Amino acid sequence: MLTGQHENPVFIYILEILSASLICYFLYLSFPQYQLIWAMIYIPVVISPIREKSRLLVFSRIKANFLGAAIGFLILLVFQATFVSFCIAAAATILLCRALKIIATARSALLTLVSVAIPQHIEPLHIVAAERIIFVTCGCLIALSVILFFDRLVIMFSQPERNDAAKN
Amino acid sequence: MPPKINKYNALAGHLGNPTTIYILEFLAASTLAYLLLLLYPEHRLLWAMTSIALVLSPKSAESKSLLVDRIKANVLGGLVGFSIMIVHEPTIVLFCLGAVLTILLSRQLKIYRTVRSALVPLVIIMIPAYHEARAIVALERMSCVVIGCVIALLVTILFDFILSRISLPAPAGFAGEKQETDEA
Repeated sequence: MLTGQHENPVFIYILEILSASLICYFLYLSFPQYQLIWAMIYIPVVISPIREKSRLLVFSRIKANFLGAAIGFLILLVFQATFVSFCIAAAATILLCRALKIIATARSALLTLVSVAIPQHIEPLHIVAAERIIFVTCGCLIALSVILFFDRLVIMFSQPERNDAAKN
Repeated sequence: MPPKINKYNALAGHLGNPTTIYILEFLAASTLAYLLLLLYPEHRLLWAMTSIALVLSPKSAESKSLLVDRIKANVLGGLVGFSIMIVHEPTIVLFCLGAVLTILLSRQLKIYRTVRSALVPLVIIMIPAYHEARAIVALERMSCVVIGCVIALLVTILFDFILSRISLPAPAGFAGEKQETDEA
């Protein structure tokens, strides 16, 4: 039934979101000094209720996240996060998304840019910037591994004739 | 005179480009949010920008209905997070309950395709990084979500009005092109 894309059953989507959030939360509990709880924002950004065969959109969302994070990192370090530099960064993010042909996921990139570049911090800038890059990476990696894990589960349970699936 | 007309057409084509309009819309909306932030520096209105980033998207055939659905989803996620925060200190169990509730409610309200936009404000509202009273933080973050949505909606309406007035020629290759969206 995996033609193009189709909707996941709701409970699988719920399970994906919950398990990714729990992993994030346990990471946060294990390293309480790093406020890893912020990585939880990127979990609903990456995991979606749609299951497509190629998983192209998931990867372009992750790319968009990293793009937004990288640009946010640059403006935090180079321009000290003023509003004008934020505007330039936003325009650059959208244009780069278009150039990389991931314009459909530009919203994810902008969300990451906003959350990385928000100047709400007490520590020195470079530490904050590095920390936020780590949040984005953690969130995306956790979400990706959960998606891939559930993909395997769904394939295992939906196709009893696993040999056929292996052949294809 | 033909070269001049061509030049105008090329420029107008760029202006009518969905990407250009998207950039202008996003910048206008964030400028509005920033002005509000300057007016009321004691409220962390920066959170409104996350809602703006979540709600706006490049123009396409169904971008309007998507915009409305995303706004509904944002407010839904915000409301669920807000109600939980008002009742109890945020914990991971309550967050999970909130996530399940948000997903099921957005399915009931037929905005399931934009469910991702509902979960992000839920996370943002329930993140336990605050120093003030819980109810005030919840109210502040909830209002930021609503303000961001209102700003995005206003900017979209304004741009639609302006674009309908100046009627730019559609850029070549756009008319029949299917614009990809990142929605369920």
